[in-house]
Amino acid sequence: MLRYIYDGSFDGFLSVIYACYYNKTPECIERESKYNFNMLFEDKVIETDLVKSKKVYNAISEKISEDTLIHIYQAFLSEVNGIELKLFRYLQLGFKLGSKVNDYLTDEFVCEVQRYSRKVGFEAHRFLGLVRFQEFKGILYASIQPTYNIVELLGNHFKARLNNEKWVIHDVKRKIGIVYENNEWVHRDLKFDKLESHEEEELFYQNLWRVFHKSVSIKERTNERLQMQHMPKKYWDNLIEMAE
Amino acid sequence: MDVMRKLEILSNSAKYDASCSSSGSNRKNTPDGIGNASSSGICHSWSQDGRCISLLKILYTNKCIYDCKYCINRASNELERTSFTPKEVVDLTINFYRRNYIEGLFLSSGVERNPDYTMENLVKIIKDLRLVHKFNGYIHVKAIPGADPKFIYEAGLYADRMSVNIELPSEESLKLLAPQKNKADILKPMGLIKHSILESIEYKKKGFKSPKFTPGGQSTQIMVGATNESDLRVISLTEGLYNTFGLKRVYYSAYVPVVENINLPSIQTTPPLLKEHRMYQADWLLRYYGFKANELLDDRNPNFDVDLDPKAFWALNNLDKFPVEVNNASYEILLRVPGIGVTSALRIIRARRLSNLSYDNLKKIGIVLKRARFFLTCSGKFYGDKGMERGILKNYLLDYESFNKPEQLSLFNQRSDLFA
Repeated sequence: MLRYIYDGSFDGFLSVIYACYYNKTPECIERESKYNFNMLFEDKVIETDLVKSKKVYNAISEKISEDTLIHIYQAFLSEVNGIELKLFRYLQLGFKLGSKVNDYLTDEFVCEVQRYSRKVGFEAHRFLGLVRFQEFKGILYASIQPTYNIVELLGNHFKARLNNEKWVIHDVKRKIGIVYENNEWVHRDLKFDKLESHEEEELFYQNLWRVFHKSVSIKERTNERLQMQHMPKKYWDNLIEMAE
Repeated sequence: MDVMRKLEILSNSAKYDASCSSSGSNRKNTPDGIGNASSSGICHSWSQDGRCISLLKILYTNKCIYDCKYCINRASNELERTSFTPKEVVDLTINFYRRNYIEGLFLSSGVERNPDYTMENLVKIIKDLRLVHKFNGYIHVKAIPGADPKFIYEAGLYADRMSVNIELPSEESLKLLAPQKNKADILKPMGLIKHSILESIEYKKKGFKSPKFTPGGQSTQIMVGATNESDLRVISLTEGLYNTFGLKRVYYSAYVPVVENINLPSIQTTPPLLKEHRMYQADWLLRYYGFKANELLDDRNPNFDVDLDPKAFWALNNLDKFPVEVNNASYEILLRVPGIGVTSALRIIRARRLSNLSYDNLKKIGIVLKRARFFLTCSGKFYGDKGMERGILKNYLLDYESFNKPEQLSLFNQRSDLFA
């Protein structure tokens, strides 16, 4: 059985799709970081090739649709085991059916890929609100721990909003992040742990926020289950108003 | 008094306003500015009562000349009174916004001295935020009933959304509980705002460059459970407001007793949260599901059955319209099936273009069939094994899910003597 190994980037994944069409179709696609030896598989490493990935990228948006590209990208960011092969099946069907593939919800792969795309999109939207910046000498820094790899989906939103600031959003779990300076944000490896600011002004506003958060709640309506439903506990560590 | 104490008092006084939405406006950032608005709205946190926090919701002052019986800030209530300075409001807004705590500012106020004086102060603050501090985030500001139209108009030029709270759904209740206010005063600013929005849109259509006027529209709030108007009355009022004033939203707030008064429910009463929930569900049916108020309720049935959601209630009263065939019912008809909402209906429509849908297909594409199966056929086959009898069906549609916690059982008892 054939197995393709790639570097884990989206361009790498698109290069794999290129190989699937121009070489053999594999039985499994795996990222480098999750690689472990398995006797049953014949492994082949696919090098990331920006020319090939660009070709596949354009083919998806022109021959299938822009929506498909978004679904593929978002579902890819879910980093779920075995998602790569499902994405490949989705694309196979897409190149056959064209843009209609997005409506083909009764197909197992279409249904599942779109489900993950929705989940990732939803979490990204959630984090537009749940990111909490702290100020370090004029630089805004936020640590987050999302379930899916959504940090790059946040870049354009905060770029439009905080265009005259310098800011960093740090995915503490994956040790990556985005850094904004001089009108552009870039994706970086950030190999350090979560930071906490102890500047006086920063603590002053953090306390004000805690006070506000508490006093705006109506005691007679207390419903912590509802609160947790909207704002699951897994996010609390990085929320100033919820962290112990 | 320091800012922290002020924030505590003035957010505590503002919390009974249900509205916190930051939607409807897509104001863009400017090169030298900070912030923008996102048309879908963004929630930033949730407080302990489970309500979302998206705006810094505060009063400018809790000093008030009115003595509305139901209100925590009424003149006769012994309460610590204070006001923010404009600078404090601006600092809080900008600094909270930069740290992404909030989506913008919700500025309300008690009526200090007179409506004009109060409204003028509110305008001053939001003007300062927009023009001096180049703040382009969301601003929701109250229109104070009775204020000079020129102040209200000016506020609309800087705000994304404005609102005037009706609070009491009838003139009699108003006389009883807020004798210093009258209906005309409340409706006048609403009319003005609606008119100015239309004018701004009309100008734009003609190609003139006109200033945006409250791009997020206007909203209002009605109290639920303080007085004993029927659900039909509240729902009809809501429908009327949407039609005549083009409101974006009507909010409902379950009355939380803050004072003992013979004309109000007693101070031990739990807020009628379930009733409030039913009103919101009905409101959604009006706005997104194509229902009319008089379809949902009529003079024979002027109140919802609190154990059923309003759509199930309607379906049980209109069993002759069911079951419908999934593969050819129109979008409007699908929306009327209990258990199928906008998302599910759209998904069905998309999926059935490519293939005939079976019951298993429906399950697979994520349609929840727990309730819907009693009202559907798939390719002619009916899957609700219970028949179409009202009494039997009702048991399968009961909706306790969101309110099944043991400690809230008392709420049911309280409600029934209040609204019997």
